[in-house]
Amino acid sequence: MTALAAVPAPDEGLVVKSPLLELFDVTKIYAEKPDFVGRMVRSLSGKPVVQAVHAVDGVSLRIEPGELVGLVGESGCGKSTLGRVVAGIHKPTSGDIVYRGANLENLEPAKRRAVRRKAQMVFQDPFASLNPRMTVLDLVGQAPRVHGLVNAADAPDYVASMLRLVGLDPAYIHRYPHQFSGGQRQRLGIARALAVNPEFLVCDEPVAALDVSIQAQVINLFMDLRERLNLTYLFISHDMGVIEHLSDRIVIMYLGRVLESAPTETLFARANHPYTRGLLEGVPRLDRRRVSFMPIKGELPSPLDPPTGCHFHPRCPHATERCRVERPVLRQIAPDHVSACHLNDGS
Amino acid sequence: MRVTLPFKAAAAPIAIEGEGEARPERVPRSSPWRLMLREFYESPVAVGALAVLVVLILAAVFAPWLTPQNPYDLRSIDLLDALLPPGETSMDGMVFHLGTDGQGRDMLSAMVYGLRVSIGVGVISCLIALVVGISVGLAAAFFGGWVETLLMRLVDLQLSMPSILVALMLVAILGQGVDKVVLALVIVQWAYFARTLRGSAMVERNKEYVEAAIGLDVGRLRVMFTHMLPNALPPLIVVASVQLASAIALEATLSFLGLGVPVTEPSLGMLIANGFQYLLSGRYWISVYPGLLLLVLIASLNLVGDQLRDVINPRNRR
Amino acid sequence: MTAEPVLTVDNLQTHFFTRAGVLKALNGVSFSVEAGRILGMVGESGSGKSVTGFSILGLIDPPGRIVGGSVRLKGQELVGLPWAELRRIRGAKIAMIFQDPMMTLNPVLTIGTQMAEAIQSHEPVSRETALARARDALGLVGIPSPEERLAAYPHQFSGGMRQRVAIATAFLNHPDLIIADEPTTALDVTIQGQILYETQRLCRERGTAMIWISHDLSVVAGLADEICVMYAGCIVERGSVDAVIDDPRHPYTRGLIASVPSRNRRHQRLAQIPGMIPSLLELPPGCPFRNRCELADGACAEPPFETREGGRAWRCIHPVSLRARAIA
Ligand SMILES: Nc1ncnc2c1ncn2[C@@H]1O[C@H](COP(=O)(O)OP(=O)(O)OP(=O)(O)O)[C@@H](O)[C@H]1O
Ligand SMILES: Nc1ncnc2c1ncn2[C@@H]1O[C@H](COP(=O)(O)OP(=O)(O)OP(=O)(O)O)[C@@H](O)[C@H]1O
Ligand code: SF4
Ligand SMILES: [Mg+2]
Ligand SMILES: [Mg+2]
Repeated sequence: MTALAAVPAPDEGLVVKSPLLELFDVTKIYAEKPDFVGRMVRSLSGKPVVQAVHAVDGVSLRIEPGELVGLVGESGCGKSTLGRVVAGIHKPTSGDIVYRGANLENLEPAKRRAVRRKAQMVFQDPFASLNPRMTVLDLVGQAPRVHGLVNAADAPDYVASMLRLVGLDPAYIHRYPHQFSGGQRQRLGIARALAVNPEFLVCDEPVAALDVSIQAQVINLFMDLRERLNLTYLFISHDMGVIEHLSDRIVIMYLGRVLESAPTETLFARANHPYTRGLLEGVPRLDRRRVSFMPIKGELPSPLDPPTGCHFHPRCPHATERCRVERPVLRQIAPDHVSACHLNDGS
Repeated sequence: MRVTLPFKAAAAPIAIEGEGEARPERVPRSSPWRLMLREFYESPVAVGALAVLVVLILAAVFAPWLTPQNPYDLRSIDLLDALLPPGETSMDGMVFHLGTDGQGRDMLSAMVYGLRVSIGVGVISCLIALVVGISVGLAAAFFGGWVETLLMRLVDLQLSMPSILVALMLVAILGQGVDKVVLALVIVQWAYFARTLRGSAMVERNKEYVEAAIGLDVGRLRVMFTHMLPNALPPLIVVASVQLASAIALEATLSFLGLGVPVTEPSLGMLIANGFQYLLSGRYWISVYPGLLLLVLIASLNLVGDQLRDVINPRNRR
Repeated sequence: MTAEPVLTVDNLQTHFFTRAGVLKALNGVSFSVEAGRILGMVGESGSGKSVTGFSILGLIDPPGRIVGGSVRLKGQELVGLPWAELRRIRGAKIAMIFQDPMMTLNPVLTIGTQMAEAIQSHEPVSRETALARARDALGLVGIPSPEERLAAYPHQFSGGMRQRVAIATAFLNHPDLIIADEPTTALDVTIQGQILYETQRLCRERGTAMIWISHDLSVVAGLADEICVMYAGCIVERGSVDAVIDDPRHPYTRGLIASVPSRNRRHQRLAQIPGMIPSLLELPPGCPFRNRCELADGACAEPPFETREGGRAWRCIHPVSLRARAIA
């Protein structure tokens, strides 16, 4: 009894929450190396020989256990890339990933892979994300069998329990993916991720390809699972409505960089960054009738050749000379609210 | 049987409204391969070609039991029967439905045995080339980087040379014999398989289900062989059917030129060559019938291959 | 006050005679659009939105056929018109915008050439005049430096810019009606916002009627004046956007609206419609929604007639009444 008493009670107020996952200055560069002829053409035309996309450009992020973080941004801003880096599918070009206080770089390979498995991914495309030549049994059961979570004899029961968990009929176990509807396939993708007992799910636009009524079913499933299994989520979407509904905190990305991050209420009430404000104003919503203003001017710049300084400056109504040359850093502007804009430096 | 679940919650199902009704309607209860097969049967021409092919293959396999004569057995051949036109009868009452050749062999029997050699050489060389090509292509697609560059340059090099020339050169260097011909055919063909497999495996490699498998950490070999390979194979089936046809044609060419299989076991190409000298003297059957058989074989292979391509690649569909 | 509508569609029925059976894609679709107004058409995938658009344009290819009903453009009947006549109308009086702008743009011709040809094929004007008009049209949809852009090829534009070119081309010949089939679905939020803004302004200014097809209720709510909700080849409810979205009468419309995530109910479960759309190959008689509807009873096995009230209409014999919802 005395020994137990020495351990501090898990009191919300006393325990300092340690983050589940932290990213420090994570960068992912896709370098497209042209072949010999391509190199010649490029060097003759005066272009850089190697074309590099900074798909993720110095992102630092902190995700608490049990939190649902929404990641928002326009196409090509690096949301999927960041998600894949977090889920361990791609290695970052540079930067540190710290999982429950342990830097993945410093772990021995076997341990690192075990930690990595705690983060799983749910994909966008209900057609491309399931191997068309595997039955549900193999699809969901392969990874847990490989990792010894279940033996071959018990695999069918295990897979059936996973199917029930995501609201599918276990009788489907010997079917192929093409025999399911879009929403059911998304459930299969979720079951596959859950089968290795993860604590963190990266969801890359998991409802974008679904019809509204099916979308609602899958969103409900995510909320149920979160409650039941104590999951932590990084939820990627370009749909502000979905993100607002689900998230505790929202991270806004633009051309590989994080521009702003704040708790959901704060972000919608007091968005700080000019891009976020424009984005929120331009989002179509059921209760907003007749568009009467233009949200954000201009085109999305090419990620191959991003603007200098603040990436947003060519489209920003407040841009100054400084914005053209100096990259703004993420600064805390209120508790738990960071934003990267020179306007915050006071005038 | 007890299943240990990673978490208690999984024991009870989550109630999903509408569950049960959300079953897919009237879904076909079949694997993707079966679906393809069903579509294959939609073209009568292809089914006909497939039937011809099956008959030819069966004939080749069961040649000793089907043919009236064993053309390799010199005792059963009588030089007196030489150059008989189709329909003639031999001394001992045997009918030569397709005539006889210069040595008095029954053409029908010789052709069926020739078919056996042609198909055998073609299939064996294609299978070996397929294995080599798959290994090379898969390795290139999965590992990327310098492995890929090296392997694919090799493929390019191989493909840039005309296959007939390479085969001729190889046979000239290696010498005659069935094994030498097979080796030459493998060397000219593996690159087609490697290039095709690499192409389709690259497409699969970037698909989300492969990324999922990498994320689930099922191991490199499993990603390659249980995920990428089965999905990258279909285009290879098409290439295989076309390459089989071209292997048979190539072997026939080599044999026709006298560089292929040995005279003791004539293939279709050699039969054509043997009859060539009699063609102008009006004894057409010695060359023409093996020629027709070769034509039918290659044409039906190509027809089957075309339909396979249409079935496998939806873009070619109407 | 009430002018004659630009387009009147009445009891339109389009069926596809497929190998698996007769697929009843449209089963009696009726609506109308007035000049300068935008009609939003929403519905789930496969509900027949695109087929409606194609049927109006007479672009239904075999095995499909319009088997009944009428489409009148300013009083002129379009169903049954000869192909050549329809083609003339399609270029000059009705224009179409697709989700993929490359459906209408030719990749090997410059934007200027394509737009000028579109004008010249319907009006005897010089190439200079046509180019000048094309330039002005590009400017109107917010393309910077339109003069230079005329000489560019479609692949030199981003997806959003291409869609703008497609919209500018659609407005070129001052059509009476534009049918836009999910034109912003593939675009980013900010670009979509710009395009919604430009289209709305152009329709108002030009007095062009527009049918805007979308699966996104929020987009239609923000853009359209009128709304049609489609389900399994029927328009189950139509009326002004405010009326339909704030006070839906059809159970399907209500379910659809409730399933859209909303800021007022954060972290709460969303309403979901159980089941899925019935197969159009074997539609049961009666209301097509009845296997998913919580209000369905024996009476729903009869085909529901259209109830009209004020400027709106719905197809349900158990409409959700305001009073019932106030109690709940
Ligand atoms: N495998 C790759 N090779 C090269 N470039 C890539 C690769 N994957 C992504 N990119 C580039 O990286 C950038 C970010 O891509 P990413 O897919 O992460 O964007 P995203 O935010 O997910 O966009 P979307 O909303 O369209 O899914 C893009 O410019 C893209 O072209
Ligand atoms: N050419 C065709 N042949 C056979 N059936 C067709 C054809 N075109 C459309 N259909 C069927 O008609 C029905 C309505 O299709 P339509 O394309 O109008 O749907 P939609 O509402 O536009 O859906 P989406 O949101 O997916 O574009 C569908 O069931 C579809 O399968
Ligand atoms: S840093 Fe400058 S350009 Fe960037 S958002 Fe702030 S004001 Fe606009
Ligand atoms: Mg993405
Ligand atoms: Mg459509």
